[in-house]
Order: sequence, then structure tokens, then C-alpha cells
Amino acid sequence: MKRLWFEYKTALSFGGEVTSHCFSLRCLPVSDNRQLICEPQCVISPDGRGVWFSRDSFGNSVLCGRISEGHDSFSFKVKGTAQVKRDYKIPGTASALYGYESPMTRAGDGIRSFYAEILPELCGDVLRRAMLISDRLYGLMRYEKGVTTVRTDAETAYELGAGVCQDYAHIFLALCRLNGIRCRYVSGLAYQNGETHAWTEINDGNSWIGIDPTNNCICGEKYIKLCHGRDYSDCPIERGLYIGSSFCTQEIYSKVEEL
Amino acid sequence: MNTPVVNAKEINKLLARYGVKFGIYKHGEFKEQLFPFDAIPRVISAEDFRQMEKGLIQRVDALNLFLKDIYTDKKIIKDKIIPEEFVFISKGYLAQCEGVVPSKGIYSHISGIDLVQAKDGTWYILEDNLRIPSGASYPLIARELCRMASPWAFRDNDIVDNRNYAKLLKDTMDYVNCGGINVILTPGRFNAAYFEHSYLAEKTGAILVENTDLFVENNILYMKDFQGGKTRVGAVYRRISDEYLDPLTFLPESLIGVPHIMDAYRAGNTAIINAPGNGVADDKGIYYFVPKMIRYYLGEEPILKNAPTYLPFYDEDRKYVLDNLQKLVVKDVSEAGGYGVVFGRDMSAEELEKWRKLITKESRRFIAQEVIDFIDLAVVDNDETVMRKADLRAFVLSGETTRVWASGLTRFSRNPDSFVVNSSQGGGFKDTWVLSH
Repeated sequence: MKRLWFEYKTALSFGGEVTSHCFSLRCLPVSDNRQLICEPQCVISPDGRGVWFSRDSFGNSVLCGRISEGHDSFSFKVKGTAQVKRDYKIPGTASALYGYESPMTRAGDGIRSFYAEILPELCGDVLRRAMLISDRLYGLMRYEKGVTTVRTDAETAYELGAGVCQDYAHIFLALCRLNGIRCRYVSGLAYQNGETHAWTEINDGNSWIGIDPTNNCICGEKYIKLCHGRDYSDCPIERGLYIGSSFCTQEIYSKVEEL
Repeated sequence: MNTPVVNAKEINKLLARYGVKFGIYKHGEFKEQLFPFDAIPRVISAEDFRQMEKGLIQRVDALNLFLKDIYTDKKIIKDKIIPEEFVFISKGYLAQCEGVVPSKGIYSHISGIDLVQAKDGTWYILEDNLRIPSGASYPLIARELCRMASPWAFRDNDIVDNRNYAKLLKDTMDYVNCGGINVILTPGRFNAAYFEHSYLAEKTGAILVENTDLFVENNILYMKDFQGGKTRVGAVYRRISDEYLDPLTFLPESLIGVPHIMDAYRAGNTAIINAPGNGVADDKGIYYFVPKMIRYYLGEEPILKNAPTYLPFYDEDRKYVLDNLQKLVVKDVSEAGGYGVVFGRDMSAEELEKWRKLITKESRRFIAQEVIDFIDLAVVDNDETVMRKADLRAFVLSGETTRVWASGLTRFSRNPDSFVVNSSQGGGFKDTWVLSH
């Protein structure tokens, strides 16, 4: 068990005044069997008077809002403490919807042929097979920022042979699903300071086990989960829509520290 | 028929003036064209209709139970009636709707069921349309104009009045309404079916709105009124497809959707007609399983028949399809509107071989059906009466009870060699008369 302090902020600056700004944020970590969130605080600016909660079909809590008045920037800041168990295991079974390819984890010819290549090595239980997949993927991919975007799908990232945590997670999920493993995409905060992180959870029939393909390891206690889905498109931390300038810059800051 | 409908040319002129049109995408270009009306009605006897009505109610009830099951317990999968992958790979299955039970448990409020009649008189179901089936307004307005142009035809023939469609639709909207007004959500006047949207709004008393007229606050859907205030919306008959419905849940680039409408819907504060996610039940691959659904959910034998269908996914069916491809029709399950339909008899030897390979490789993507030799209907073409293939779209409305509209949209192919009668393929339409005795 570890006690962690977390802080996370996203700030958007628009090229001019925007109006009718609607947003859905999956930015609040939620307590589950593995992580206990204490005193979470969330500040939305401009003043989030019109903010309410919703729940999506994947079980995430969603902070929704609508700002009709004009504004040229938008930010949300989340902080609090978390008590996290050593073993990343969340009891529960997986719906079959996590067993099939989703929009961003579609396996094209590239991923399929890679899967065919590694298939003979894949033996043992779900966790063992998943770790073998992670291992082979880790050997193949190069971590590189800027070559992919948030909308790059698994197959495209595979062809590039490079990408960031989101891409590692997507390719990993595509391969696991080809192998009949039910698994999901997770967004959250990890020990690395500066940015949010993406990892995965595989289901062994009894519980969800965290696997971080970017670091080729089983997740431990340094991960604070925000939300999950079949892939990134199901559970972006921030998604919004507004009328006004299409120019927008984004700044993200995150920090996780042991207490 | 005792007295025929006359003045067909004038009726067509009026239809053009009212904007009764259809949009077609051809070679990536959008073209709007008139939907030609043929004045010779399709006539269905009272006895024939009674039988069809029973069968349609049974089918739509089973489809509604299937949708509820798929988005909640998935018993039909657990009991191995339908293989899991047929549901989860279907483009129409929306994970974003998982666990949502809409108001009154109804998913398909307006179902457009396409049927054809074989030469021996048997009706076959061609496909189910449970997303946004369009077309009810065409026979409605045509009937209205025919009554004016040819009043004697409606005195001398005993025809069931079809003007109750608006009432059926309004009853359905009122029944599932979660508190507030009824609205019809249209993408706007450039949509091919805009005539229908405005016509149905006028007839049902629902307010015709575009996305910018609506907004969500606290999971409640509102319409902006003219005084700068807001009115709560309890039911939305939306005429935009699922993927464009809510840019914060589905396609982020959608400019015709309503942000957060899915949150209002999930919270049970508004009904969406038809429910999002219905595409999983009218998928061409799922069609094969509808008779099994009827037996499974209702414990009844299907009254209306499916066209004989084969799923190459099953070894036995695939073998039959590969051996008999030249006499079958093959359909791509992901395509709609008469696209992705090919006939084995039109293929050269190489094409047949190419298709055999494709079907073997992507066995889940296609279904194959026997070609039904369905009856021709008389159509007037340049003052000459000719025989053309025609189908029938029956409209079934599910509210407090399930009811079949005693009319329907009869579409015919204008091309004498074509079996595809979909209006997206440039066909025409007829009124459908159900006789009262």
C-alpha cells in the first residue's frame, strides 16, 4: 500500500472567443477495489456553474458541462490523495464487448502478420500470454513523441513502428483480442511527471490485471486510474465542442508523488 | 379495381411542388431527384393483410426483445442461439449504449419492414429497418392528392383509410415521452428526406427542430424558445443517424448532433426514437437469426418467412453457397440501401471465382440468399402499362401496443431487368391499398 499525492491540470487556449462550449471530462479518479481516492478536488475555469455528473456505458463517471458565454481559455485542475494497493487487481468479469476489435484497435494486415509470427510462442494462462505479447511488442516498437496523434489507430502506429503510450496500448489490445483475451484501455496518471499515461487491463476471468505495454511490465502501485474503455476513443479525458476559432493550444501538467 | 385513380400527371406535378424528393449518392456526388409516383395502387386483400399484420407484430416484438437482451443480459448469446461474434462485430452494435434501457423498454418504435410477394402469393421478409426507416410520408401525401384528383376512386373501392399514421406516430411519441414536448430533429433542409420531416411534424404536432435549437443541462434536454427561455423535451424523433447524434459520444466531427443528448437519454430523461444502437438488430447478418429469435423470446413459430438465407460463417452453408453461387444473390452485411448486392447469375466465370475466394476469406461479411421470383406489378411508363418488380415497406409502430399501419410504401424498379427496388437506386413508388373486406 502506498499513499500518493496527485495533481493534474489541462489548460486550453483558444485563438479567440468561443461560445456554446460543451464538454465531457473523465478527469476524476474514482475509488475502486485497488485505489482509494481521498479528498479529490476539481476546479473548472471559467467558473463551472453549469456542471453536472453523468455515467457512460463503460462505467466511467463523467463530468459534463456547458458554458454558453464567450471565453478564450478553459482549464480544469484535479488534485487529491490516493491510497493504492500493491497488486493491480480489480475483481470482476469482462463483458464480451472487450473481446472484439474496436474502432482504434482494428487489426490490419500488419498486426495480423505480426500476430501470426508470435503465435507459436504464446502459451500458458492469460497473464503469461499477455506478458509474452507485451514483451514482443516492446522489442518491436520505439518510443517517440510527435510521430502519432491521439487519433492514430493501432494498425497505423504498428506500421510506423513508433509512438507513445496510447499507441503501445492500442497495438497491445489488438494483439490480445486476436488471442481471445478480453482487455481494455486505461487512461490515468503515473509516476512519470508531466503527462498523463495510458496502459491496459486484461481480464483473467476473475479480475482485471493492469499491464503497462509502454514499460513492458505488470502495473504496480504507482498508477492512478481515471477511466477505461475499449480504446482511447471511448474514454478521452477531455472531449469538447464549441463555436469559434479552430485554433487551440493545449497544456497538460501532471504530478504524482509518494507521501 | 372498380374505379381507377386518374390525373396521375397532375399528381406528380403537385408532388414535385411539395418537394417530395429523394437524394441519391452516386460516384461520390449527391443528387436530389423526384420520386416518381405511379397511380396504379398495390392492392392487398383484407385477409392477406390480417395475416401479414399478425406476422409483422410478432417479428417486431421479437426484435424489440432482442435489442433489450443484447444491451442488457445477453441471454440469447449465453443460450447459444446467436454466436457472440455476430453481435459484437456488427457495425450496428454500439458499446456506448451498453446497459441502457430506454423509456418503456422500447427500442424500435418505428420499424420499416421490407417484404416481397412471391408468384405463389407467399410474402417474404426481405429486410428489417429499425434505425430511421423513411418513406411513410410518401404514400400519405400521395393518398391525399389522389383523393382530390380522383375522389370517385375512394368512393367506389373499399379502402382502409390510411390517414391515421400521424395518430399512430403521435401515440407512440406520447407513450415513451419522459416529460416535456415531442420534437422531430432534422439535419436540415438539405437532407433528402426533409419533406418527410416537415410533413410528419405538421401532422403530429411535434416541433421540427435542428440541433442548434436543442441543448442539455443537468442531463435534461431542452429546446430554446423564442423568448430566450427553455422548454423541456421528453421525446425526440431524430432523423439523423446514430454516429452523428452526439459529438461527445460518437463522431466528434459531427456538426448536426446535440452534445450530451446521450447523457440525457442514459439518465432516462428523454426518449430517443428510434433508440441508438438498433443497427445490431437489422444487420443483414442478424436477419438470418430473426426466426430463431421469435421462437426463443416468444415461443411461437414465425408467421412470416425469411427469404432462404445462408451464412457462409457456417461450414455447411458456406459449402452450399460456393457450390451454388451462380443462382444466389450475395449481400454485404455492412452496406445499406441496395448497395453491396450482387447476383451470381450476372457474374462471369472469373468473377464467380473471385467472389468464392472473397466469401471464403471474409465469411462473416456476406450473406447469400435464394433469388425470390417475386410478382411484377403494373406500372404506367410513357402511357404504356408495363410490368415491373416491386416490394413493400410496411410500417410497424410500437407504443403501448404494437400496431401495423394499414398502408405502406410500395416501391418499384423502373428498370425492367432490375430486382433492386430501393429508392436510393432511382425507383418509383405507389400507394398501397388495404381493402376493408
